[in-house]
Amino acid sequence: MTSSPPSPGSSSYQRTDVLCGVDNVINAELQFFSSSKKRIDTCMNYTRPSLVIVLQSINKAFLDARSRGIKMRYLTEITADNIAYCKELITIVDELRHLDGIKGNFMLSESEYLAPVALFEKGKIASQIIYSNVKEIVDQHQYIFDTLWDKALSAEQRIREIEEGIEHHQTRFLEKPEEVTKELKHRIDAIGSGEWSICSTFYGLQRIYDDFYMQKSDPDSCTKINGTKWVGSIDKDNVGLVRILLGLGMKIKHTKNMSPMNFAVSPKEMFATIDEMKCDQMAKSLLISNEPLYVKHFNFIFEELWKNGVNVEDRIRQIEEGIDQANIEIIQNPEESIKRSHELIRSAKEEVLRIFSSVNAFRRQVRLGIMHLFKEIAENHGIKVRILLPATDDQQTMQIVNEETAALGLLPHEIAIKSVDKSTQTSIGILVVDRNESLIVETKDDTKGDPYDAAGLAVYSNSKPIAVSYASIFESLWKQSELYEQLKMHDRMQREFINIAAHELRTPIQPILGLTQILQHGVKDGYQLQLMDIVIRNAKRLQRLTEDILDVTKIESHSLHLNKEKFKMHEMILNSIADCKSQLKKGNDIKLELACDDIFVEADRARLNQVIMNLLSNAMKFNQEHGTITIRTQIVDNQIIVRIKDTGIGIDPEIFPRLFTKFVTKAETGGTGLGLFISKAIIEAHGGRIWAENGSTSNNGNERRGAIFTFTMPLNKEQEQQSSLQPQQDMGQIDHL
Amino acid sequence: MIVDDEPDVNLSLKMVLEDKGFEVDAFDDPLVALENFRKRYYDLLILDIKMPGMNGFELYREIKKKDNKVKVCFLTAGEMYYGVYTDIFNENNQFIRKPIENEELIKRVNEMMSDAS
Repeated sequence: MTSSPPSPGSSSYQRTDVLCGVDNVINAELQFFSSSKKRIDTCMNYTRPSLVIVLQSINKAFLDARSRGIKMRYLTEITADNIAYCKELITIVDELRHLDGIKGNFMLSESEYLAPVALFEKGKIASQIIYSNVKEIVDQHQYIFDTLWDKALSAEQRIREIEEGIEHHQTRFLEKPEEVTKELKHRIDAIGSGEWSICSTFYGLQRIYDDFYMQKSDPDSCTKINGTKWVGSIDKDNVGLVRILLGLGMKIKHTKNMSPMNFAVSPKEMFATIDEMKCDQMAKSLLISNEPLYVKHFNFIFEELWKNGVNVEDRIRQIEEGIDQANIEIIQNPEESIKRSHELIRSAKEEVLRIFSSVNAFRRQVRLGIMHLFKEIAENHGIKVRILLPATDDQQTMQIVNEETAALGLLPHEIAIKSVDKSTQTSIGILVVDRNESLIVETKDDTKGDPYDAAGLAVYSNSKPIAVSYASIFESLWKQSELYEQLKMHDRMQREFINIAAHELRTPIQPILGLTQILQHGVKDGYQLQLMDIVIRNAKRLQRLTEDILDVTKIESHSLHLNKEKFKMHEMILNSIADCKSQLKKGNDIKLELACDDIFVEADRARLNQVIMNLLSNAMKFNQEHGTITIRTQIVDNQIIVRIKDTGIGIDPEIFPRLFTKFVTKAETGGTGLGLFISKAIIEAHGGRIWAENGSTSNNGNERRGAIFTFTMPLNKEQEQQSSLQPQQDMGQIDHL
Repeated sequence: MIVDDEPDVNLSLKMVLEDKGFEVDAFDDPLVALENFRKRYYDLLILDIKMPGMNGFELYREIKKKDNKVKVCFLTAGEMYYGVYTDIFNENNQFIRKPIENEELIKRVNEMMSDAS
């Protein structure tokens, strides 16, 4: 350290000195100015510009340097206090710029460095100054100056901002605790203005309340924070403070979806920190900005959170009633949704309900280990698992389940698997856990083997009403499956019964008929022959009744099966006539009006023969002597129409409405009363119709209107083409005595 | 050969056929019938389907091991067929539904016997 200023022109002698005393400081500065040949860069705090104007020696030095053509740049903090001096300074130096918060003071020429001790008293000259002509020191500080210069604002702009009250936009990031605390306090004090919107963890808000409101000497004088908004996560631990802040006028909403940053934003400024501020911790860093774009952005974020937030009263009620806010989440990523489903299953406490969209979906999940998971939770925690699968076309669903789960060994009894009708197959899988949570997963492409390729969107919800609704769908399908199984069993039992009944009823008739007919051949006595006729007749009657009852049973249990074959209709009609010709009464004849040579049909020949025989038998039974039975066939609109008309007494009006029901008969004519009921079922099973009508009245004054029975059966195109379309011909009469 | 677990049915069928000149062996136990079966001895088997111990299809399956060419006709009073027996079932198999009138029985047996094997 030396008290004498450096010698001019001593550039070959590099040194760094500290000079003391105001006179030495001024002399050093004057020497510095006179030594400068090209440029002088000055960086001074906001108190120094006044010295340039006010201190004559310094002022002269500046003017002198200017007259010598020295390029002078001056960097300082222009404030409302020094604005007048800065305006004058603009006229002296080549360029003046402003930078907020300049603290250090130094000057640089092309070869020298001068740094008066920083002083913040206006008008006061530094008492010490550092001088150096060491090239490295000069270069280093030149770099610092240039860096600061590039960040600085032009003096004119700054002066305009001050004079017009324009706020200067800047964004700062503070890391020093004292700076952070100071800035936070300054802004929190402003919160009472009601302009602020705050999004923070509750720690942040607690911090504000504790540090700045409770520390005021008179808490009652706390600024009412009317209008200030806060959005964050409210739970049972912080409800008390929420009520206090509501009482102070703060507007509050609850959100589950918190921003990762705590921030506050007003119409003009925002500040934010990523620090949690838990317990006693204050924010360690702070971002502050009044840049319009930043402010707008954070306002937008806040407004979105506010818009989707839950009213504080509703939230408090939920907490008090123990109801957690329901959440619905859409999961786009199949990996995530599958992972979530497994997590949900593991979290089960009582029950898991699972509906698979298809058997393929079940297979895919088995490969991912879902059955292992079910087995694990069932065995280790007693969780009840119920699974539903849609049936396959070949009804082999349970076989597939057994194959897929064979490796697991015996499944615990807590796991139950059922299949439901294939019509319930959908493209979504449903998982309900404890009737509290549900996960619905879409099957995007069931043909894919990879579960991640097959799965689409998923929707998770912890809404109890939604979970209960899905559970109720599950229960409905489960019940349906049980009923379906019961129906199948009932159906099986019904078929068994029919089979057994048929066997037991028919079997005894064989020896009765067979042996009686043998005896008949060996007996000559007329009386004995008559008795055997009675036995045989009644055995046949019993046989007919057995067949009719079996047919009715089959019809009513929907077990009537048709054995279809192709045959010629007219040929069958003629055979039927031949079979029942013995029933024709005296003088009766049969007239045929057949459509063409023959009609090819595909039907159950035996059953259709049964219908024709029944209708013919009735016609013959009800016809009077010398009556006519007409059989007509036609093809109309892809249908065969068969019409059997008699000339008897017609259908009794009393039984007409019930004609095709069971046990409809006239006592005097006998019969089981089942023939028409069975005929109707047979015709309808073929897709046709059967009906009856009475013929026109009065034939020669006699009440011989007769009855007409007509039935139709569909023909396909091939059958229609096969039938040769010759003109209708009358095939004449078949006379029988 | 007639096999039917109902003795009365057996008797009635045997008498009807013997009356028309057929030689008939009738058994009411399918296991006994199988034991007594002799290869190339019988022109026609008439087998009841529903029998205890061994049903008609099972009996025929066993008999076929002894004589592949024997003709068979199944007697049935029931409604259900046994779909699992597709190895011995084909469209040429004949079925007689009980009860059958004597005349019809003779006609059917004659038809079956005259069919080329």
